[in-house]
Amino acid sequence: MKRRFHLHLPGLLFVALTLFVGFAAANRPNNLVVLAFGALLAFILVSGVISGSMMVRLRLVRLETRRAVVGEPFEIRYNLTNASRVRSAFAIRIDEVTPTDGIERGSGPRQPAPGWSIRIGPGETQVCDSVLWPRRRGVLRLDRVRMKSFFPFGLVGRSLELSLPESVLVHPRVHPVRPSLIRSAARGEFGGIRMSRQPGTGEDFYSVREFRPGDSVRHIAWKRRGISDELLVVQRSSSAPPRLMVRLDLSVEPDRLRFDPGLGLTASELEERAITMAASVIDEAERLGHEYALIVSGLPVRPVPMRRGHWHRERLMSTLAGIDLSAPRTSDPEARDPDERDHAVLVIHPGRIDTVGAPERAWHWTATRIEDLLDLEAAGDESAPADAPAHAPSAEGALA
Amino acid sequence: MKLRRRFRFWQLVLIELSFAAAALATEHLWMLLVAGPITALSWYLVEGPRARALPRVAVNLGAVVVLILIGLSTLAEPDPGRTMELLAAFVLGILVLRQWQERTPREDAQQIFLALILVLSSVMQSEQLLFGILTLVWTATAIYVVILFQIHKGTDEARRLRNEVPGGERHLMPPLTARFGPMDLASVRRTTLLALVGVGLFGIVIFVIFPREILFKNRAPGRGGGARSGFNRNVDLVSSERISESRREVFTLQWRDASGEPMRWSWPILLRGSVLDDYESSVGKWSVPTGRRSRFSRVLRPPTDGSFMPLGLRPLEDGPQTYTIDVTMRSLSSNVVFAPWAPVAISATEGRTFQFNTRDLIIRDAGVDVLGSYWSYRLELRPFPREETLRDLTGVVDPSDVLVTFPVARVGEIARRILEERGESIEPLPDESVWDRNRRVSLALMNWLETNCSYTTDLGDFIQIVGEDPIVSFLERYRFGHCEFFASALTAMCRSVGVEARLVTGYIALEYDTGTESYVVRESNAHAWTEVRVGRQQWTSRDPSPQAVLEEIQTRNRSWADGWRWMYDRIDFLWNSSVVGFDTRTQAMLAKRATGGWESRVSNLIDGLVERVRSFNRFFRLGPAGYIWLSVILLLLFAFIAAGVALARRRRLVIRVARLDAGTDGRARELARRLGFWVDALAALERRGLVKAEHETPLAFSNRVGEVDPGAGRVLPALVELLYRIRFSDHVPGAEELARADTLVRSLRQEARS
Repeated sequence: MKRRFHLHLPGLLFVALTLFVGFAAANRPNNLVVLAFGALLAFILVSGVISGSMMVRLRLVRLETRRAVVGEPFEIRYNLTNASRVRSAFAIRIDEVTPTDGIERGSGPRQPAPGWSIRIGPGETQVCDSVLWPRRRGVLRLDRVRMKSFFPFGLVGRSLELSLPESVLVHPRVHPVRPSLIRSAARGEFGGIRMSRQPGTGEDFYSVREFRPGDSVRHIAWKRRGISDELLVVQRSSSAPPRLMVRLDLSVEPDRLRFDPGLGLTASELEERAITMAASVIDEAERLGHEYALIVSGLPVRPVPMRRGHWHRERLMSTLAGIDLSAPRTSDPEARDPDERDHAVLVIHPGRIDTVGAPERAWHWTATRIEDLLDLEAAGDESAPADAPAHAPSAEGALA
Repeated sequence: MKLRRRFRFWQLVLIELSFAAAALATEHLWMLLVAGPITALSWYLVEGPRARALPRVAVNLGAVVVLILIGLSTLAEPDPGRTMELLAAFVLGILVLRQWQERTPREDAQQIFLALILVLSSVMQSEQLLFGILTLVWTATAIYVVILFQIHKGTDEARRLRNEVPGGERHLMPPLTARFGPMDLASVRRTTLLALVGVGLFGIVIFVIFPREILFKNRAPGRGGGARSGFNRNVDLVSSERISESRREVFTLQWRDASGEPMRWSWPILLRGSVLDDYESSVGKWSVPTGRRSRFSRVLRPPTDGSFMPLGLRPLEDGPQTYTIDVTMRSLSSNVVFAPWAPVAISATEGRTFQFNTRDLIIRDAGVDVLGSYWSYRLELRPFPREETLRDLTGVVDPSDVLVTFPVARVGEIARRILEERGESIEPLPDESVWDRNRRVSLALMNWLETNCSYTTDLGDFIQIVGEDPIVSFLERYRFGHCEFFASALTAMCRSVGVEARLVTGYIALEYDTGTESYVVRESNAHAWTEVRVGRQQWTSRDPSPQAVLEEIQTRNRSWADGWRWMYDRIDFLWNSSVVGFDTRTQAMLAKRATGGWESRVSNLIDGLVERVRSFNRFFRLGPAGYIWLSVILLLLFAFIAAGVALARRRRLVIRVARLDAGTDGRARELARRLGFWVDALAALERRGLVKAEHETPLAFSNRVGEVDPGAGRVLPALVELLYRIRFSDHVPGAEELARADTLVRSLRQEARS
C-alpha cells in the first residue's frame, strides 16, 4: 500500500500566489494582508488534511473480472467502501496501474476511463467501474489500483495505491467474415446438413424403443402391437447443423515462415492475424448456428471437439487467447483430425499456403489476405488493427 | 438543480462578491454597479436554455481593449500607489468578459483564480470592517464553489473519457453512473462548513504567530496604527487630514457634580490627549519630545475596587469645585486617558497601570496586561484648580520650562501687527502681572482668528507653498483651515510675542444626550486648541476655532442612523483593535498568556506530586530509602501499564488481521491469544515486500508467496494450516505446536534480514 501526496499545476500556482501574498505581508504592516496570507496557507493545509484523512478509511476490492476482448472496452468493477463512521469521501478517481504494453494508453479515443465516485457516505459501499482497452491477445496482468482525490480544493492531491494482483485472459479481436465465405466452406460436400447420430424431432426413422411414461401416444408404433404385447415407440432422427473444423496451422517456425516481405509485416504479426481470423471464423460459425471445432497444429494446444453454443465459443476463444507463440513448434499428434471426412475443414495459414498434410478437400485461408476475408470496416474499427498490413493486397488468391 | 448548473450559479455569486469587495476597497462603486448587472445578465443568456455566448475572438478582443484602457489610464496618471487598483480593474474586466463565453472546466478554474486575485488586490487597499465581513462571506462562498468545482470537474472528465470512444464502439462502453442528489449536497455543505472552520482556525493561528516583531520592526500595523479615531498625537500641518464627517462613536462621557448627579457642563468639554511643545518649521509639524515624557512621569496602579487614587503626591481634600467624569470607550483602542483640565484622581476597575505626566498632566495606560479591549475609567477633576493643588500634582514649585520662542519670525511680525491693529500692548500694562498680560494678549489674538479666519475641513484649495511655513500661509494667504491651523496659529503667535503657549490635541465634547445624560464623543470631535500659561502652574485653554461653526457641523452631520451606530461601532471596534491593529504588543501578550498559563500549571503539578511523595514517605517513616523503594514501585507500575497497553494493542491487531471480530461467537479474545504467530508471520513477510491483500485468503496468499519466494513458500503453508485449524476447527494448539510456529516465524524473519 503506497500513500502519496501530489501537487499539480493549479496547486503550484496557488502556492506561488501564497508566497507572493506572504512577501507582501512581510513588507507592509497590513494585518489584513497577513490574515489573507494565513487563510491561503490554511487552504493548503486544510486541503492536505481533508484529502489525507478522507483516504485513510477507504477500502477497495476488485470484483471478479470477466474476460476481455482486444479492441473492446474492458470493464473492471470495484467495491469501494468508506469505513469511516463520520465523514463522507468525495471525488474519488480509481485507476488501474498496469504495464503499458497490454492496454491502450495516451490521449487517443481509446484511453483508459477511470472509475469515479462523486461521494461515498460513511459506512457505505459502492460499486464503481473503470474501463481499459486491451490491445493484445493473451494474459493481461492487473496489479495495482490507485485511488486518487484532489478534494476539497484541488491544491494537494492524495493517492493510495493498493496491490490487487489478478490475471485476465484477453480474447482475440473478432471481425465479421465476408458474407457467404463461411457458408461456402461449411456447406460443401462433407459439411452440409446431415443426419444426426442422436434421436431428435426430425422426419426420418431412427429406431424403436420401449414406451416410457411421458411419451406421446402419437409416437407409439401401433403396427408392432400385433407382434408383441409390449408398447413400443418410434424414435425420429434429428438433422444436425453444418460442421466446420477450424485448423490453425502454426506448425512452421516463425523464422521459416514464407510470406511476401513487401507486406511490411513480421512473422509473429502474421501469426496474430491468423489467430484473429480463426476467432472471427469461430464467431461467425456460432452466429450461423454451425458446429465447430478447433485444432491448433504445431503447438501443444489440446484440440477442442465439435460443439456449438455460447460456452463452446468462449472455450475456443480462450484457447486462442492462451496460445503462446513463443513456444517451440512441434508435430503434435493431437493436432491430427481423426474424423476429417465428417465435416468441412478450414485451414488458416499465417504465411504462404502449404497443403501438405491437410485433408484433400480442405479450404485454405492465408492471413496475408485478411482484408479480403474479413470485413474490418463493419466491425466499427475506424483504423486498421495493429497487426494489419500496411497495404491491402488484391483479393486474388485469397482462397486456395 | 444539476451539479453543473449549481456550480455555475455559485461561481457567479462568488464573482459578484469579488466585484463588491473590489468596489468597497477601491471606493469605486461603478465596479459593482456596472460590472455586477452585466455579469448577472450572462446567467440568463449564456447559461439559459438558448446559451447565447460570445465567440472567443470577441472575448479576446475585449481583453485587449481592457488592457489598452488600463495602459492609457496608467500613462495618464502614473502613480505606483494605483498599481493594485489598476490590477483590480483589469482582472474585473477579464472576469466580466469571460462570463460571457462558453467555458471549459479549466476556464472555470481560471475564473475562480481571477476572482481570488481580485479579492487579494482589494485586501491590500482596504481595512474596513464591511470589507472584512465581505471577505469572510467571499471565503465561505469560495470554499463551497471550489468543492463543487472539484466534483463537477472530475465527473465531467470521467464522463468525457467514456464518451470519446469511436462511434461504432460507443454502445460497448459502460455508462458512468454518477448522480448528485440532495444527500450529497447536504454532505457537501457539511464539508464546506468543516473546511471553513479549518481554514478559519489555521488562518487565525498563522495570523497570530506571524513574526511581526522581525518583519514589521517598528512599523505599526494598519493605516495610522489602527487609530482611525480622528485623534492625532502629533499635528502635521502639511499632510493633515481631519475626519470631518465620521459619526463613529469613540467614547461616551458623563459629567457628575460633587454629589454624583449627572450634569451638563456649561461649556464644551475639552478632553486633553496630547500636549505638543515643539514645532518643526521645515515639515510643519508639532510634536512632543520623547525624553520629556519619561522625565516627568509617575507610575500609578489604582485599586480595582473602584476607589480613586490621587494623581498627586498626597490625597486631596474634598472641595466644592470637584467633579467626576465617567468615560466609557465605544470604539477606541488607545492608551491615552482623555481628561479635561485638571485631573486629580483616577479609578479603573480592570487593574491597569497608568503613567502620569506631571508636567502636562496627561495620563496614559502603561500596562500590557489588558489591551485592545473596551474599558472605562473614572476621573476626579477640578476645572479651576488652586495653585497648591497643581503644585501637588506636578511635584515642583516653579516649573523651569519657558515656551516663549517660535522658529518662524514672520509669525511674530503678523502677531505684532494684529495686536497693533487692536490696540493691545505686548508688554504688561501698569499694575498688570505677566499672567494677566498673557490672558489679555492671547484673548486678543484668539478673537482676531475667530473673526478673520474661516473654519473648514476642506483643504482642497489650501496649497502648500514651498519655502513658506504653513502657519504663515494660513495667516496671510488663505485664512481658512481646520482646528489644527487655528490652534497652531494662536500658539505660534502667542509664543512669538512672549506669551507662553502650547498646542493640545484631544476631543471636544459637544453632543449631549439627555436620555443617557452623557456626552457622546465622535470621530469628528477630534480637536486641537491652545493652552496659555496664566500662573506658575496654571494654564488656561484658548480655543480659537469658531464654536458656532463646530456646533453647526455637528448638527449638520447628525442623522437617524446615529441611534444605531453603537452596534456597528462595537463590532468595528473589535475589528480595528483585534484584527487591523493587532501588533507585536498584543502578540507578546497572547504568547505570555498561552505559555505562562501552562508553565504555572505544570509547575503546580510537579510541586503537588513532590509534596505527595514527601507526605507518603513521612507517613510510612521510611527515610531516604523510601524514595528508592517508591521509585522502584513506580518503575514497576509503569512497566506493568506499558506491558498491558502493548498486549491490548497486539490483541486488537490480531483480531483485526485475522478478522476475528465476526463469526467467532465471542471467542475473539481467546483466539487472538493463539493466533499471534500469524500476525508475526505477516509482518515478517511484509518486510520482504510480500504484502497480503485484504481480499486475499491466507491460502491464496501462501500460494502467491510460494510462486515469488520459494524460501518463504516452504515455511508459510505450515503456518496457514495451523491458522485454519485454530480459526475454523476449534483446534487448541499445544505448547509444542506454538513453539514450532514461533520457530517458523523466526526463520521467516531471519531470511528477511539476510
